[in-house]
Amino acid sequence: MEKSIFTFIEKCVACKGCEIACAVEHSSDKTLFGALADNPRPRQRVRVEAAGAYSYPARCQHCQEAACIAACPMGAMTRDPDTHAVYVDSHKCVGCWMCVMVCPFGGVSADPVAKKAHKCDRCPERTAVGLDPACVAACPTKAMVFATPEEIAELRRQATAAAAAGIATTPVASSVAAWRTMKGGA
Amino acid sequence: MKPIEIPIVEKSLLAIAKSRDMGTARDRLAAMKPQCGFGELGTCCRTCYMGPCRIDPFGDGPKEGICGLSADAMVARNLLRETVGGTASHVGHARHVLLTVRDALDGKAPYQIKGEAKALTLAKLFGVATEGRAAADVVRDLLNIALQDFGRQDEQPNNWVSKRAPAAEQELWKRLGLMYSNPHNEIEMAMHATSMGNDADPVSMLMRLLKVSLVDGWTGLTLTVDFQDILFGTPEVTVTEAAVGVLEKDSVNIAAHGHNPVLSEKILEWAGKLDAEAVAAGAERINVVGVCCTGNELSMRHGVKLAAHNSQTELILTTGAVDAMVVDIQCIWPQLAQVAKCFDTAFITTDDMVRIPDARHIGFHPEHADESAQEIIRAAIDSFKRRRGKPVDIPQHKTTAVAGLSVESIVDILSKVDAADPLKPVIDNVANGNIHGFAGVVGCSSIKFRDKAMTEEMVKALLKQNVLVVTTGCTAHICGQAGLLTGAATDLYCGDGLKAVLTALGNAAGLGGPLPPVWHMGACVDNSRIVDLLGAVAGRLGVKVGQLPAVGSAPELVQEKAISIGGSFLALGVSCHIAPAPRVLGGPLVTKILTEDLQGITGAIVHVELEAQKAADWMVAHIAEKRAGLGLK
Amino acid sequence: MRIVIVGNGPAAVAAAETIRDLDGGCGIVMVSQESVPFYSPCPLAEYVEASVPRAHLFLRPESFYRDLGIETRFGLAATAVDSAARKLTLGSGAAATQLEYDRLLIAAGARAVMPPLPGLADTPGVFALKTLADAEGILARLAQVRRAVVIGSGFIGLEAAQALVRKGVAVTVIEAMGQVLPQMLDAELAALVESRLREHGVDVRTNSAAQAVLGGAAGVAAVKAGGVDIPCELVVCAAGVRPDVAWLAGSGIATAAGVLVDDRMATNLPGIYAAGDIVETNDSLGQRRVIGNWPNAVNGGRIAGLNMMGVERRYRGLDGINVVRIFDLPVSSFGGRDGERSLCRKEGGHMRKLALRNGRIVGGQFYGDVNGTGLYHELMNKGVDVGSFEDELLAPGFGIGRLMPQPPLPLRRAA
Ligand SMILES: Cc1cc2nc3c(=O)[nH]c(=O)nc-3n(C[C@H](O)[C@H](O)[C@H](O)COP(=O)(O)OP(=O)(O)OC[C@H]3O[C@@H](n4cnc5c(N)ncnc54)[C@H](O)[C@@H]3O)c2cc1C
Ligand code: SF4
Repeated sequence: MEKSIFTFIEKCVACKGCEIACAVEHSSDKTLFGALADNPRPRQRVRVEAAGAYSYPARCQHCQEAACIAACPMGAMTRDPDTHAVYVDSHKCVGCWMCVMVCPFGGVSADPVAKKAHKCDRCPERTAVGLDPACVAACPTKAMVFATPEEIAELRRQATAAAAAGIATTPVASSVAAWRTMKGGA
Repeated sequence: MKPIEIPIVEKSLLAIAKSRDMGTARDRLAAMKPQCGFGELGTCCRTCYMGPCRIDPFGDGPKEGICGLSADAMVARNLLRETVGGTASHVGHARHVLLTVRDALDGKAPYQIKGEAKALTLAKLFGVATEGRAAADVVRDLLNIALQDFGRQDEQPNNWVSKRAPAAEQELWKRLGLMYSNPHNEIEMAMHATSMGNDADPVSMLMRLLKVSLVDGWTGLTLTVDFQDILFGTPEVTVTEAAVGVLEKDSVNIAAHGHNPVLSEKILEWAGKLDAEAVAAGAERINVVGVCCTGNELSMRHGVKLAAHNSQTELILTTGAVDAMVVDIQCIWPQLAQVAKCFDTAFITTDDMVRIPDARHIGFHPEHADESAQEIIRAAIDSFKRRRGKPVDIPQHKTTAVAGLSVESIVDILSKVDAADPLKPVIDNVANGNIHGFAGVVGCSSIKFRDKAMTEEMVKALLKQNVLVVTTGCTAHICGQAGLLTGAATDLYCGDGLKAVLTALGNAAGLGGPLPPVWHMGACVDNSRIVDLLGAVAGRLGVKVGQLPAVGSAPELVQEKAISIGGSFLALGVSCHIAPAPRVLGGPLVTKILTEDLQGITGAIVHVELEAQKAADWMVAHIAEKRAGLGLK
Repeated sequence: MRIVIVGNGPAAVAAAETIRDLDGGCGIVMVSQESVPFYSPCPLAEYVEASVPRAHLFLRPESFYRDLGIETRFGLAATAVDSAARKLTLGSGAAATQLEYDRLLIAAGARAVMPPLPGLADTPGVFALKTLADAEGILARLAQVRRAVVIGSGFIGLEAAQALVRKGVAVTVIEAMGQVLPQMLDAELAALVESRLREHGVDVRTNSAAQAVLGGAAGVAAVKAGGVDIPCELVVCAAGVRPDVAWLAGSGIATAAGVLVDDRMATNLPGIYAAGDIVETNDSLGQRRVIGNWPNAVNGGRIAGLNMMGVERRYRGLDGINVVRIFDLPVSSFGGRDGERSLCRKEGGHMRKLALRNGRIVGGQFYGDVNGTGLYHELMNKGVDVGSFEDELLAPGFGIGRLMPQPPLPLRRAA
């Protein structure tokens, strides 16, 4: 199976580093300062959203049966035959926003400046050379992992086994646990 | 348990904002969420340019900074820098007041010394001769003693802390190396110690934090308040009103916002003198209302009505009825200028340090205080002329509030009960348990807690358990708006013991009813009045302040100043409840020191609790421990 | 086995591709009354305004039919179905031919409604905007057009209006109802759309029903509406679209407003299926309706193709979604407007509204910012009770995160 991005929601601290890394990756020279000079500024395709006590880097799920591909009346919303990622061919996109209307995750948005649909493309230039997508690489707590479903299943299995054996894979200090609990409150 | 509702005042103000399609801080907070966990945990360091560094709380990522700084050192360093921010604010305020007094004495600034009584009391304490001397000369001596601290490089103990702080505590501070000399040196040293490649020991930085907090407590708060009282007089009990309903549709409404009475006293003075101009412009009168702590200062000394606490500042502008909002220093949201633009409101900055885009700046310098005050008031009248006849939307809520409870005025009331030993009635009732203890509920108003009425609910829970509450700052506004600053609240909310005491005291003092259960002691700088009160009670009992059945709380922390004030309470041995959590949780050792180990050092700890009832319960339990320590049941 | 598909739109093509995917050998015949290969009608207005090149309308390569082994009968209208004999009639009169089928898919789409107004049908210069031929007709005439009248203010009418404005034509939009986009928006949002149209120079006349098209053999001269003559050289009739089921009369195929199908896209007759704009079936909330849009056509076509080949797949229902751009500003809606209550948020000239009933979202309308519409639409489709987080729904920052399952809070371990 090809790799995709998995999120371990319990590790996200909402630093929004992934948002910045994403925008930079989609800028003309792929540096932070270059990105700031771009006009229009590059926009991130991942958005860290509040999820009660947790937070969640929300982005396109690259669904197997993607509603956005079916909905696109321009043939612009496309699946990459190699990586299986869903991406927008911006030459074909007319900005009709049908994809925005049908994505059940809010994973496609309308770029008001470029007037093109805007979404995660899973960083084809990075993955082509064996790098993780920019958001994954930027995540300081490894809340996102770029891996095959089998690899993820193994990670989850190890975590459960360790928990069952009473070893915490991520020993959380009690003060950090308190922070997480309070994040739900205020 | 009944569900807690959003306070009615915010509810109606938010409805107005919504009806005008205006976003508020609540929307900006929603857009900001989720807020960065590294920031919240304190494990983000931007001190040097190898960074920024972030420490992963879960352990798979980086465990220390690039320079090797530990998570604990990182959070301690960040917290210490917050403390410096708070202390610098108050020390700056103090220095501004001192220089105004100097200019007044030199005849350069049009201010009269109104607090001769305060000057005499302090003179005695500082050994300044008073016999046969003009008040101005006494004040000048005191002023020189105060100013000496700012220039000294002799490492001798600071005059103000060593004369004003209780002796037993000074002993402890000396032992811990916390006594300071020149306040500016401490601020400089703390910034130096926390810059790249200096102090990396979390314990050392926490001790410095206490020291810098002491600078705030004595050279910030106490010094400011002492000289404000000398300049403007010591507050006396007064009755006023609170909440947005104090705005008047047909008057020129001037909202004074900020912290420094040097400006607002002049505004108030000239509002009286220029009233005829307002009437000529078609207004009923000039209505100066108080916002935030400038508001508290004016209410304490003049009974000026309290229009809004800090988190309501942008909201009261949406009424369209504020003709001018004139601001001095601290807690001024830049957003206010933007909201004012949507109305006929003149948003006027006055301090050359506080410049806000799109505000009108009328630089206010004590030497030209009269001219500037007139210019500001005329700007307000002009705004009124433009506004006249347009619809405004003022929610009608307002409540009666008793203010002006300085230590002096409290003693005054109590001496009507026992002239020889004014504190005795209070102490007796603490001993017999009618009064369980004291809570200082102070600090800011935060949109993160407002909609669940954190402060009011916590205060009510304390009253119910017979804890007498004193308050300052924006929490005083909150209590006022909730009707807690009245004798009626005693009947409504207090437990039987407290109710009986306050009723008896009120009657004995000839007030014809109970004292309010929550005592409005002033602005946030007036936290020194709370310390003075505790000091007086402790002195009378012959115990240390830290042994008293007393506790502090900043239930809606926003400002760095609340951190340094909290630090000064901790140094005194007074434990503090706080919400939200200070940004230290990413450092387990620092968290443990603040919440546990500090007990063995100064006798105080920090307790974090976000729920009103639970916070009150902890405070009550903590007081019970202190009572037990004194052998009280 | 031979599969015959009436139509060459998205429903037809999605079905053909699905069928070919499942079976490389069966015969597939596609019939279309138009003579051009598969194209998307959605950007026809942009084609008229020249922001989309003609080549972009065609969504498949030229070799598409050859590559998939599809036989085509283009330029021929299907005119009757003999379900007993399993035969489809193409053309009429002497030229009529018949085509045998084992399975039949009816994906003939909808037709533009042309109201029976004097002069509408026979005056040169009157067009619908439904097919490529319509668009090319408008383009061919454009050189002689200074003023145009658009009849109808549905999304096609408004798209036509802006395309013409961008071509330098003075445009009047007439609408019989009291507001523009009456199917899609309530009066408050429609008023915003109207003022934006006016800002861009469109003369919008509501409560103004077209009465006649004036002119002669040389072309249109005016449209009479609400008692006044509006002079023009071009008329775009955008009075709505409707399934054309007249030719199915007598076939035994059950129809109402459209061809009735079940959730397998099967009609009442064995072996006969229908998909796309022509069908009438349940929407995602179980209400029987005709809702023509691209996703419904593609999804319906795919479901039909699967079921025709014996792979049972059920359709979750038509999606009632609309989106249109008013001079680049997006406006969208979904579901109904008949809630018990509505939530509304206005900010920076944008407006978002949700209709609620029984704690559930039953519809939404968005002006200016349509991001997240799909998420609200999904909440409606799933019947999620939003009562507990109602205030958050329209607040900035609301997103899928709010709906994520949350792990248990971490255990507090000793520091
Ligand atoms: C200007 C315009 C803009 C649009 N914009 C959007 C949009 O932004 N988003 C969206 O979702 N939808 C939009 N739509 C609607 C969308 O194009 C249709 O919903 C979709 O094309 C329907 O697909 P279909 O396959 O059912 O029918 P159609 O695409 O209409 O195809 C019908 C096919 O059947 C053929 N046919 C019809 N009758 C017969 C017959 N009797 N015999 C043989 N062949 C026949 C036709 O020639 C055609 O090939 C737009 C439509 C128009 C006209
Ligand atoms: S906005 Fe672009 S990608 Fe999305 S459906 Fe429309 S044309 Fe396709």
